[in-house]
Amino acid sequence: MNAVELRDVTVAYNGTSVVTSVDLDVRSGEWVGLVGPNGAGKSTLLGAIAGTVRSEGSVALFGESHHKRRELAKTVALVPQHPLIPTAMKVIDYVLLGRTPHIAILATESSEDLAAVADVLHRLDLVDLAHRRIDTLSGGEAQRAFLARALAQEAPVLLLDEPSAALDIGHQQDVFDLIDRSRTEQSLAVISAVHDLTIAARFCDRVVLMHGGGIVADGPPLEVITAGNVGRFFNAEVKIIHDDEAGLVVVPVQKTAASNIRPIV
Amino acid sequence: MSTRDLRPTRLGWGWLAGSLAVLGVAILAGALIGPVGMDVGSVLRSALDHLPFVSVDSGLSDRQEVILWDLRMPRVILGVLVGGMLAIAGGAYQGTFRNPLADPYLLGVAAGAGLGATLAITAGATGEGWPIDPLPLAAFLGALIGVALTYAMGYSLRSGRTAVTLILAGVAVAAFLTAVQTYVQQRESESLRQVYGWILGRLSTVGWKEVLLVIPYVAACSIVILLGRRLLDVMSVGDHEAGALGLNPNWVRLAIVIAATLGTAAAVAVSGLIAFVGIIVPHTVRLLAGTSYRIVLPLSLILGGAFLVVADIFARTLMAPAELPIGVVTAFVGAPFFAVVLKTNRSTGP
Repeated sequence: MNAVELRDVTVAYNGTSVVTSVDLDVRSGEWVGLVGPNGAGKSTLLGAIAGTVRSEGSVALFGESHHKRRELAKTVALVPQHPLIPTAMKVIDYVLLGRTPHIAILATESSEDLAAVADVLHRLDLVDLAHRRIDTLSGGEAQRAFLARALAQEAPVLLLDEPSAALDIGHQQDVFDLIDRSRTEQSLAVISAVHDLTIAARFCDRVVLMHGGGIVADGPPLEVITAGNVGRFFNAEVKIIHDDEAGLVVVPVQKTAASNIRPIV
Repeated sequence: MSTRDLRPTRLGWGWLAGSLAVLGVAILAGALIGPVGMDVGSVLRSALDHLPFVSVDSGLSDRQEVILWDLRMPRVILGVLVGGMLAIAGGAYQGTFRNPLADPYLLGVAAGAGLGATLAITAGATGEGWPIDPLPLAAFLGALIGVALTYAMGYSLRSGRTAVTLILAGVAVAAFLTAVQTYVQQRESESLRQVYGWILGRLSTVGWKEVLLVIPYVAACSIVILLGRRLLDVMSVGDHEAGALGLNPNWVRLAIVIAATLGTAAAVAVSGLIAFVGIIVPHTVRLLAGTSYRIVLPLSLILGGAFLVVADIFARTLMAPAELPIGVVTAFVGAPFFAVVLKTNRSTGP
């Protein structure tokens, strides 16, 4: 059974559709990278899966369409691109928020919830930062805390919206390694919007290219991230280098005057 | 760090005991301070004497007993209830709207209560011959109308899902209701003095009747707000993320706002408009004890009571034998405090 099964998913704001008739299947343990130019509908599609954006069509998680927020939150965890960082909240309290769907509405956390939080803090090497204020963390540390909150949700589907956009290359790698480890250990279905095509090719099993709200290519990184696709859908001129060790590398080259005009697709 | 240290923030027993002690001292000070002198030992013995099945000779004269139990204590206890309610309501509004400046005076709650009370006073409904005093009732209805208008206006706007829109709506509603209230008040100039007395806040004319009136509201509303303390921490990541965590932020907000509004209206009905308690107390608690609503809400309830009792001591002693309206005392402390909060919170919220 597919962890995520989207059929004809459409999202419209004020009559303009932002995501148009998307079909997508993702299995447990699979990492799908959503790539595409700005405004392609990646974040909106993630929101539709997480239930934070109202959509038409069918969104099934493990064969079920969830209508209750709480049940949905037990199945799918979302790390938004710019999480709202509460002032002066400790990292441990922030990670505990991930347990919200598991705690009865008026109850407080159980020892089971605390154990889950402690476990995530250990796994993500956040123990020493547990009592630091989250608004004082560095970019890389904060990204780890965001991920920790999502993992504390213990949802089998993990959605990430550009998890490394603001990070330097070292921290970017750390975050993606962490996501990869969690995915393998817990057999998570991971869908992440990824901005860096080289990173997408390196970590994702499958790359889905979005453009204008629809999916225009879906397959292994080598087949989707081609100079042709990047040129056509990103309006970029790139060279794709294949390296035995690094895999696929996307390098921008100087644009020629002719290619600067956006092609009609 | 060991696993034992991996415990989330909770209200510590030390803080709870400490703030209860502060409240106890404030109550005792409120009982002792006044034109008729009494000593601590006698007051404590008299308190013991009032417990069921206990009989102690307090050493107070009959006159002192009457002053202590019929004049000072109802006033002190009402201060505890009103101060606690305004402070916890302020903390609750700040949490639901993620706005450090939110307090019962935004959202049109107080303005609505003011208009309701002014209408009652100018209509000459003084309570004589009525089964229930119409003044609190009118204030209560006004507050509900105020917050309902704010809600309707905030949500009718297209972008009304955000907290900021709702607060702006509240400011507009408050301005409108205050304008109507001023108009009514100016037209009926013979009751001007009475209205002003009420608007500025008072704990002066109370007896046990007001205390009994306000107790059920304060108890019920505080319990509802306290039950939501963990949810308000979840709300601090914003509606969008709180929704993704399985919470319905609109329902939580509605429940907490209704509780805070009912409690505020009851408090305003018996004591008039006492400003800034809802800003001063929760922010002081945040500064000292921590920012989690598990800490802010219970400690605000306790320390808000202590704060208002102390403010009332100043109100009745600074110009003795004349009395200063207590709202003047709280505003005197609160307005500069508000400016400091505004400055330190310009970029971030609680």
